[in-house]
Amino acid sequence: MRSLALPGGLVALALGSCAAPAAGELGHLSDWDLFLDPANQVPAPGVIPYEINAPLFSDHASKHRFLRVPEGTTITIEADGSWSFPEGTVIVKTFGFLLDGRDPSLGEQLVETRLLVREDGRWVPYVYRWNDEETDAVRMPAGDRVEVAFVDASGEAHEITYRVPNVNQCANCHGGTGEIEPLGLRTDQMDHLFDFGAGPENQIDHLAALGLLSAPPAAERTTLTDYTDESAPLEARARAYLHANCSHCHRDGGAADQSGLWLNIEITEPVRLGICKPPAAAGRGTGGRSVAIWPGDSERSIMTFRMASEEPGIKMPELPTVLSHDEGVALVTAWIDAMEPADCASP
Amino acid sequence: MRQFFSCILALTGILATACGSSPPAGCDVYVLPGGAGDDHAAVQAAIVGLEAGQTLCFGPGTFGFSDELTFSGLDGITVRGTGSAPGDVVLDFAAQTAGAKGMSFTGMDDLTVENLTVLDAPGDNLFVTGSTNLTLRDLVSGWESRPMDARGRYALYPVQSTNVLVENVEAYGSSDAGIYVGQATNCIVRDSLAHDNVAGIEIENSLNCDVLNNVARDNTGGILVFDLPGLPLRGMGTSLRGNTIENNDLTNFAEPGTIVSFLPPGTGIMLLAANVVEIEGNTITGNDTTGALVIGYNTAEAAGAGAPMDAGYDPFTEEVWFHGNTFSDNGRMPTMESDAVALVLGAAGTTTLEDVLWDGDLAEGDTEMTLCIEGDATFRDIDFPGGLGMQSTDIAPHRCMGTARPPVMF
Repeated sequence: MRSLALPGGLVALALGSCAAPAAGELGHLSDWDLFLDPANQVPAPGVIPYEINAPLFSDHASKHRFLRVPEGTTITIEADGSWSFPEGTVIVKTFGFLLDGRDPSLGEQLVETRLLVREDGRWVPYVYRWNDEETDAVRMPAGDRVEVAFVDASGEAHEITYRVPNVNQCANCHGGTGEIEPLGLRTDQMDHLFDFGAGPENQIDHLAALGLLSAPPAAERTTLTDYTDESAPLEARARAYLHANCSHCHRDGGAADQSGLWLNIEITEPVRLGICKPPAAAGRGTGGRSVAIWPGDSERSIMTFRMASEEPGIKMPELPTVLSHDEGVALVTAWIDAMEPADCASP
Repeated sequence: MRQFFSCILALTGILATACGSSPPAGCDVYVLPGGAGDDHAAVQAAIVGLEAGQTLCFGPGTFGFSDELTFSGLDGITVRGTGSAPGDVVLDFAAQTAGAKGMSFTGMDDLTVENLTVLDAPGDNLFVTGSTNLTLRDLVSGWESRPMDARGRYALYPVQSTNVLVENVEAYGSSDAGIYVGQATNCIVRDSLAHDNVAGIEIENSLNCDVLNNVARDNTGGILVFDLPGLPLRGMGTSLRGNTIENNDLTNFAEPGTIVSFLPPGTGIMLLAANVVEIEGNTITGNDTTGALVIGYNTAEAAGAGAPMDAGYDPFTEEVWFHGNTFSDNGRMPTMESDAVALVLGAAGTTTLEDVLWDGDLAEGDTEMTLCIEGDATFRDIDFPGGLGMQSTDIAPHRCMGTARPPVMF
């Protein structure tokens, strides 16, 4: 018989007839040989860093993204802008918190690293929690909680209980009711400049130059707007924001498919985007408002009410964040307020 | 790679007891409550260790959770309380600080959840989406410790699923619907009790559902069949048979802006933009506003519901057949809480209403015989299209026979 302590003051016992966790088998992030310098997130050879145009807000967490495909294999970019990966591909995302978002040189606390690994023709999630020394991270399939304190880029101090998701929650965003899929590795998110060490380069062109694409990429590409770019059109910024922060659930086949509110960038039908759309199952989440978006009036719109809330049962996204994203709320508020006013009560 | 624990006993304190106990028969994974504190980490660890086809058992006692329990993507799972009754195993989400759902199941076929109690999640107590062959049975789900203005939405919330069976459950205290089946294809809700919810049982945008031999009492509205705009699936075909729908006179405590916030207290049955509904053999009594409210979405919209911006949406209730029902003591004291009901009463110059209220809103090509009422029932056509001016209590245009719906089988 073996026993081990679990978080929350409980003790779990694995009886003799039951399998105990195999700590040695991919039980540590170091088992994947992804980093030369884990604390500074310096990747090993063949592990390629990247960024995306429109990231998900995760309680001000900083993110380090990497990609590794097995030697001699290639990525295929499909006609619809989705990407297909070879067996053995590892997609890596490390979450950390800059101690002071205004000055990255003051250091960063690494919290977790999530992997999606292509195994037997499907994506398998792994979740690792960093140790305090930031030398390695331990596999935590059931998730964890981490107390973090930091100052965000606007100078506001936060102390939060950060939630490392359990692997089933990975599937909620990455899979919905279907197969688990990566979210950021698609042409419109990857068509982005990144400095791999020789000055800014287009990431897709860089992958092509490395011989990692099965065919030359199209020269004309659909690109998601960087929603922080205030010079970009408001509509494009807001749609990119909603795509990145909502559509992992709010899409056809996503975990919030049933709401009928679909916010992925491909959607054009106004009611699907929430324009004058009554809620299906919002409960207290309506805030007394009758439609998701009331054009021209964010204060009559459920969308901004829920985005601004930090109360379970009301807030959106439902998981995993605990903080509201002020800049995101401001962007979507501005977008709704700039819409041609319409009277949703009498179309 | 999935091995974590194939078997877990979680408890605080007396380890010796646990060493001597073994999982009950039929349980692959067994969890026990840890006493005071948060059981989330241990139980979620057990959940992520599940393999397809396994049974997760909760031992007797009260489990407390600070976070949602997330199940995803595994087929053939059974989640079971091992007590002698649902009340012996309580999953309490009153202290939940993250996530809106208590138990969340996504994309799991051949799922059964049975013999336990779920309480007080911030949003929905038990949510299932994207499941084919889903059984929720012998469950108690409701809200007790949260104040009325902080109660969650749905006690039992199967949605976008196929072959949904809900039986022998009790659902109460929901600020929306106690038993809510949404966007389902083939569903049966039977032998269950829904009380003290805004809506007792609601079938929404679902295809082919039977609601059989339930009791819906002391809700704002007893049993609802709705087809709402803006949703991916449109509904068609519901039977309500053998239900007791009584004293649904509770003050409406739904959040303003939700569709059920327009539900008038004192409503036994409500059909909203529903198509093909057979209502047979029910006992409908003591509902103070009306036994059955049959309206289209145009009427709901006039009462304040959001306008449908949904091309192709059919706002009319059509092909409804009441027969073999027992109506009594309905409409005696219509609610004072609903402006719409007050308008109807004022226009009619009456203080009481009938067993069946119909808005009179006919789709082009339809006749009054799209609503057939057989048997003893009082009736009122409130003449919504004519501004409530030509109300009629003549049931004769509706004396017709509808088409019998076959039982739902799966």
